[in-house]
Amino acid sequence: MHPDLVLRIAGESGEGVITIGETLCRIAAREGVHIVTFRTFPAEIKGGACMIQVRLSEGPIPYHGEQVDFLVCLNQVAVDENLPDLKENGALLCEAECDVSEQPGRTVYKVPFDRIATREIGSRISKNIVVLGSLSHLLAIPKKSIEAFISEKFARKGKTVLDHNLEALQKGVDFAEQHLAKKDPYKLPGGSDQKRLLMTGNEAIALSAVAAGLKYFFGYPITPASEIMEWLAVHLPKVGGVVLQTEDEISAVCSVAGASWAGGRSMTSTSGPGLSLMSETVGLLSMAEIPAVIVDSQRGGPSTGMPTKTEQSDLFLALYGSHGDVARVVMAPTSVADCFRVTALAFAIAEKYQLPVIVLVDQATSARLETIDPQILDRLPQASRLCAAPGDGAPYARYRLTDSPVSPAAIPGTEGGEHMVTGMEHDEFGNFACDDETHTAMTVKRFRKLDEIENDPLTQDLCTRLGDENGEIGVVTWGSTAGPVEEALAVAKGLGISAQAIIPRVLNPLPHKELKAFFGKVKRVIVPELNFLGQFASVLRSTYRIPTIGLTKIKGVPLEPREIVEKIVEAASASNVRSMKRYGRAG
Amino acid sequence: MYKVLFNRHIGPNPHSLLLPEPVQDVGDYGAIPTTGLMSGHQGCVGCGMVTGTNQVLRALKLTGKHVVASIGTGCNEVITTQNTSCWGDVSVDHNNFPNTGATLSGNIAALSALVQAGAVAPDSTVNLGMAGDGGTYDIGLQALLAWIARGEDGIYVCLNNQAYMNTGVQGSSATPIGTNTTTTPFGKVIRGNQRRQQYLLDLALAAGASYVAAACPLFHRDLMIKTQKAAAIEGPCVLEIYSVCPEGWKSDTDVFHEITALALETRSWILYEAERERKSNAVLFTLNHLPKQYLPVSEYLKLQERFAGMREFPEIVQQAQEAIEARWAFWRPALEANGIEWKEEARAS
Repeated sequence: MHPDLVLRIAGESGEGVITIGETLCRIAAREGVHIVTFRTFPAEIKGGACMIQVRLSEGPIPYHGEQVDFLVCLNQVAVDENLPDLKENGALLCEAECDVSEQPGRTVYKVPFDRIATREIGSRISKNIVVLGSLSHLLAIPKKSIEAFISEKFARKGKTVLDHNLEALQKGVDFAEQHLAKKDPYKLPGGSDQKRLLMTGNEAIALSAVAAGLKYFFGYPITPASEIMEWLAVHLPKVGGVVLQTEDEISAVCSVAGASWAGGRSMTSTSGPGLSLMSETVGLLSMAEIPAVIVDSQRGGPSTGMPTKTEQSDLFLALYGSHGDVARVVMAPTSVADCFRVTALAFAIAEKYQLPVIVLVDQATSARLETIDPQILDRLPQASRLCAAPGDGAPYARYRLTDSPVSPAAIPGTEGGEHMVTGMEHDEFGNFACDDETHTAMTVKRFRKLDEIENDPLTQDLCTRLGDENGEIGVVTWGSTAGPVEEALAVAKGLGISAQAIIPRVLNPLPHKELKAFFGKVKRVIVPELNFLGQFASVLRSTYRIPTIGLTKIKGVPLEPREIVEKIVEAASASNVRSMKRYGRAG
Repeated sequence: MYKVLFNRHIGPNPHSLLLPEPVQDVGDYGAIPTTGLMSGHQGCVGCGMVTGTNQVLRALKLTGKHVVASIGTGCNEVITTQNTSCWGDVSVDHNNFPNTGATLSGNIAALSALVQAGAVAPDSTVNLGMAGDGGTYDIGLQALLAWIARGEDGIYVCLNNQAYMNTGVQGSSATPIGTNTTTTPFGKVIRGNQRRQQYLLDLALAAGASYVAAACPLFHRDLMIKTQKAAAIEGPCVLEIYSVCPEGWKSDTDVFHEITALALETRSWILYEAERERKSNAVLFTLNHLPKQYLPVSEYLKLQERFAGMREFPEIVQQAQEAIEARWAFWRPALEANGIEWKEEARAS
């Protein structure tokens, strides 16, 4: 493991807590430090407890860290709630009035942030900048880089505001210099010259979509996916694209169907409630063979549920939502960097195979800031739609049955390429047909795409493999739980337990070859995920007929590595667990 | 189409041609012994929605009936459902974002069945639906118009703060032209909201509502009269309440009064009501507040940073002004019938 620092800033929403964390991230990213964050937001519109946890490291890190090295609390409630997470020998920087004392194994620094901000600077809202000043002194963050960043950030707001903030920063530094003696070992980890992008999962999805040729975005506001639409509303018009906010999610996905049919790369983003509304159209997109990318940033469900908390409970909806036999692809990125690759892949697969692709992220990934290697933009997967060249005299058949399940698509309005797409079952020309032969042939055509996608070079080697390849304990997970799993395997190794993990990015069609080989090697399979039912475990059990050990959590926060380690230890020591039976792919 | 009539009265109006008796006029000080929204709500400082909801509930309790409310997802739902004590003795049903109108129908159907079965006393409940502008103008419009078309007896209140504030200030169909929201950003390529603002009460009247009214919490006397009328008048009644939102409008939290006053004086928000006489298919329009002075819309844009971008572009301000004048022109016959001179000068400003 690389030297790292886990820092948490907690306070009340509106106090500038998130701003402190984000500012630190941006400064550290410029110093070449690797960063992963975790943020919680209150459900209230204003007020309520919020925190940002930032993990800074010299090397790549998969997870935002469990125990906190350095805790910053802006009020008593924050101290009470977060102190238990402070590790042995950790340090706490808090508001002077907080009722907490130093004791063996805990360093406490107290600064009267409120008083400095209100009395000395005369503006309560600059409190967070005072905090930033004291913090930067304690963590030995170069003051120059903070000043440079603040100057940039506030330059547009005029000299008065800028001076105000620089003064607040200085007051924070001064107080720390004069009154706080550094007693803890924590400091900003060293960086490198490698430039890195710093962005959230939502921004990564939006940027990747633009890189993949997105032209038309349709969406409807919903937490935690709104940021994708907001980012695109600012940036997509610059490259000639269009962002349209529709009146609901049904219209958003139907607009995607319209724009995509007309030939433009289109996408929508939503969360669980929106995907529920879109489900009918997912069936239409599959039936009418229209490419579409649908991003679902999952949150606590069902119904309105816990809009600002994370969960991985839309897997069944993504896999099975919509009536009838619906061929669709489901993908799940594991990190912010992965959001890049998977979103571009979603466009490539959707266009190449003319079907809907659902990308499942979750609130934790959507809102998490992470540093990314910029070269990732050069390696995005690409593919385009098979276009028809009508006009050779023969009537154009949109759904022509050939050896390939993909029929050439004509752009509507082209001479000789006039055609009809429909949600009704249809023959090669799009005429309504409900005879058994046509329905069978067309259903098989639509599902053969999934077989081809499974074997497509674009989807090969997309599973993350972790741990010891001879490990007897297997862990299979998906999405953002990959981070804690990676850390857990490292811890398990330290405990002398040999374990390995596989994390598929494409969840439908599953990478059968790789999963079967994996199940052939391990004796136990643990499936950690953030939902109550153990949805992915259920899919694996029914598909591969294997026993699984579920590890589920529905607390609105990601799994912690130690929870996974506990399960691994338990599985390694249990003698009464049935050994793996392998029948291969079911059905 | 309905026949348009204008009331010769201008100002708060407790009388209705659809009611045998006037409703209770609470007076300018609103000193009435009822409770509205109780403590424990989590609305932001300066939120107009909380005040609006409070006044609606207080007025409804004057009817002496039990209030059965169905509320749609939105700010009002989020800030009032974290403590069940908030709604006091009102029964509340939170349904999905698109379904406030449909839930209202369900409530009404069940209550009328209960009345028939003798489980609930006749005429002892009032059915209230409540949603924001996103849940009304956009995703909930189908359910709302269908509810109106069914002609059921209830009140639908739209708390209009002109964008999706709950999810972080995205534009809605009620967002004024040129407004900066996160989905209609004001920049070099796109200059804020480019869509024409929609008007709920026009749609509600066209769908067949018995009574529609636009109100604002600043004129609580007028708002509470309107709420009582909506409760008393048979058939679907729609109330739209101007809801100041410092968070989304990027305004100070203590200028609630000033912003509303400017909205009225620039006629960006018009206090009026319309009641439908079904036999003659005539709709009587009443203007409930005549501004003492007419101000150009540019004055309204000053206190709210959401308009910071468009202020610099006279052509967008002009578009907004034209939209206002076009709607205000509707009231010309009402003013002239009351002997008030029709002022054209605001047009030029």
